[in-house]
Amino acid sequence: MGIFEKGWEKPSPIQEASIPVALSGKDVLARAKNGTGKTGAYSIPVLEQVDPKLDHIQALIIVPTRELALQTSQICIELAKHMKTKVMVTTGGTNLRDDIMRIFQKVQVIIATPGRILDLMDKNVANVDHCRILVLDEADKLLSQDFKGMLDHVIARLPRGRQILLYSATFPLTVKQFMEKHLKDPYEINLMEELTLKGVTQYYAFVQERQKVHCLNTLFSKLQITQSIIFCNSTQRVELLAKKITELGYCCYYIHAKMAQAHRNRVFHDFRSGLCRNLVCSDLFTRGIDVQAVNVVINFDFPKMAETYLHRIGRSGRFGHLGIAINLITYEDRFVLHRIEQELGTEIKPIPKVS
Amino acid sequence: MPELGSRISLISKADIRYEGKLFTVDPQDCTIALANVRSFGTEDRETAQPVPPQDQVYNYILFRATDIKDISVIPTQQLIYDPAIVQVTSAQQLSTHPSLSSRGGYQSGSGGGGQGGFGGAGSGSGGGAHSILGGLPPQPYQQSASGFNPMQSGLQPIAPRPVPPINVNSYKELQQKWIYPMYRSFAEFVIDLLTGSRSSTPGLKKISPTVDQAIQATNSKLSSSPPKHQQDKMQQQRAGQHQYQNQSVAPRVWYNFKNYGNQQQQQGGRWGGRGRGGGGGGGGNVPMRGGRGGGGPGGIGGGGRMFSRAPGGGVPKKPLKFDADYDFDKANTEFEELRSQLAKVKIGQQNGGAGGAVEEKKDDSGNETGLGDAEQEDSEIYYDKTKSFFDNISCEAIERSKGRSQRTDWRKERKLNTETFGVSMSRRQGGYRGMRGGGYYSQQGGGRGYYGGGNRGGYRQQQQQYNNRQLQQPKPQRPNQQPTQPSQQVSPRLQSQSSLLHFHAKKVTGVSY
Repeated sequence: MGIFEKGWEKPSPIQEASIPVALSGKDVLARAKNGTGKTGAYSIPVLEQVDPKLDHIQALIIVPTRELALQTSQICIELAKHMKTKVMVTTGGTNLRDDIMRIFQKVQVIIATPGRILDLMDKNVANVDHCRILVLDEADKLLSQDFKGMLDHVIARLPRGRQILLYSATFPLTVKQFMEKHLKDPYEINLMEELTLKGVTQYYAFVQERQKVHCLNTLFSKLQITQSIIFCNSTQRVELLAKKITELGYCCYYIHAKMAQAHRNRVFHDFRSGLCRNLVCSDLFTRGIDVQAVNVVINFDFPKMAETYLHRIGRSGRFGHLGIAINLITYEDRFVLHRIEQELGTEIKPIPKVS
Repeated sequence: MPELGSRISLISKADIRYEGKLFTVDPQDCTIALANVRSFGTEDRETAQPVPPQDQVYNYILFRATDIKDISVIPTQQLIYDPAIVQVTSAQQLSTHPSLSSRGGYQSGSGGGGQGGFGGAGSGSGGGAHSILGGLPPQPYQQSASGFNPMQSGLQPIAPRPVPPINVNSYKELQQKWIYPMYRSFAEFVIDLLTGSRSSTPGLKKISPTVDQAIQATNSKLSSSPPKHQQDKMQQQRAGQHQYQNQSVAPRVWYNFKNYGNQQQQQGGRWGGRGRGGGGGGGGNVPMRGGRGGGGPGGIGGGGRMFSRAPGGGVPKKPLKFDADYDFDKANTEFEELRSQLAKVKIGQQNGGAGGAVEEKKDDSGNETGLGDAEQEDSEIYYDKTKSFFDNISCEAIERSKGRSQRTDWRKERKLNTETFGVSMSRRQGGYRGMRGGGYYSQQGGGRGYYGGGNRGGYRQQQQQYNNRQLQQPKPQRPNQQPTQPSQQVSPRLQSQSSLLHFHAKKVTGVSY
């Protein structure tokens, strides 16, 4: 496996805890903080268990967004570098025919978003009769209403002796039902003592709605941003803000779910390769996206849910790096700010004096 | 510490000197990347293997820090200090619209509306490459940009402005945490890199098979168009492109392939894009055509360069500017006051038995006064690892299962958007404006005019640009005819070079063409 070549010298705690269990074939329920190596924690045992000599789909990794699928597949492909295992990614927004052709050329591991893989299954293209491993990354998201029980359908098609691995930083009680229904005596790995992210210092800045752009401009000039992700609460606000930022004279990309996939891919790719410093986005990028250079997350619009908040700020401070999160708080947001602080047991401090 | 984007002169252990813009410093891999790099060869340094200078300008060269002998910053003032010069802009920003700089359509602003997402897939890759050339990414923020930052509008002064100092006291500490956590200064950082003392640094894996092991460069052939942000006049004066004479010095092609599973397509697309759109960056044109490039959009974005270079098409628009900094301190003090005031009101309500404010009561309870810390919160445990694997924090899933719709009223949102982004912005609702104007209007195009708008816009833009090109045809400038006007017209040759220079007519002693 290309583990060493990836520069992974020793396993992260979640990897250490989950790899042996996953290899043993048990179902796993794993909770670990954002940016601590979850992808490696499941892809290594998955690849390890796949037999490259058998020409059928042996493992399915499902993630909630297309970008995350690309990111994950990239890691899997790199890891599988010296194996004969064939890994493919299939997501919505791409040419279905191409994906069908590739599946017919035999693959052993598929990384997919739920809609596309279900589609391929329904078309009897993706035969998962012998798919023994199912991984749900950002499991709680996949099992949420957003995916309307798609995962139940996927699981219904898997063979009996399958192994299911669930990974996320957040596991709301709703996942419990799923667990009881589909998992056999799962092994629980919980590496989160609390719901705060130690590597990410959190601040708020009180603003009026109309001052937000001004405030952001000041932040840009004061902060040492390596790369930043700026979250808005709607796709339209993403576009509007991106335009404003450009007018302010800063380079910025934007991304949201209503863009064509090819464009999304390019923005994602180029942002990751550091072509642009700032990325404005919707909650499309809230989960899993791993750009290590991101040291600043700005909640231009404060999220309503603690879960969203936690995942958003987890975009900075990846894998041992330090990051900061800055929240623009309006008068209306004040309750939510407090509620989220309470729920996460975290402190969001006023931004220190900037002179 | 020198800003990313400042001009760096670097001598490798092979005694070859390179000049380029500081693009990134990667402490992980111990590498330094320069953009717009030229190799000056071994010059007159004593070396076993003399290497001649090259005219080739590389988009991007990644240097292994351990193989760097010497590194220094070239002050930008040096390059353009001439009292005769009034103004300098780089070639693409003949239009003053700031967002034009973000030529790669998907940078916001350019491209049509939702389309703006990408401006033109065709140009996408062009834009990407362009970004490197233009040194966009390295500019951390406007003020620190050198005069050649394409992000600046053409009207802004050129002198490199000093980086606004990050305030020293309370922020210093923060700053250290944020960036290069381990290093107090860039110099220290680089020295550290140079001496290779960071034992924890992952091994350098990418070993260049070339003579000069310090470098890995982007494929020079792809960057065959002259970069436009050369600050170095010497470089400007050289025109022709040489093939490598000495193969052994040819830097290895380096591009960080992020293979997205769909490797072949991606690569194909990208190369196509880079190759053609590469140097010039594409305007927001021809999105459809670009789209055909397959997995990697932009395969056919060739037209981008031609048209985007054509000057003058932009709607002059004043860049948005704020004079003063946002006063966080004041705002936050206000906020604290508000909070405590509210707390008092709450107490009054509670006493009055007002039942309506349940939520407020609950949420506001953690204020400084410490009053009203409702028991209900204590009883509610959001997450306790010892008790349950699962958490109980607010999340979309639960909200929805409770039937609370998260969908916001569009009227409300529009109102909010107007408040946040100003009145003019809300007009975007119009949708297809992008189609009408083509070209730069498409920047303001609506979200829905995705393809239609973009496409036609692109077409129009071509036309418009074409016209502009005609207008800009080089009238032979006879210096004796218009000597008192600062020259607005610049020969295309100059434009295609990195900069457009405006001269004080009075300080120009002679002009020949």
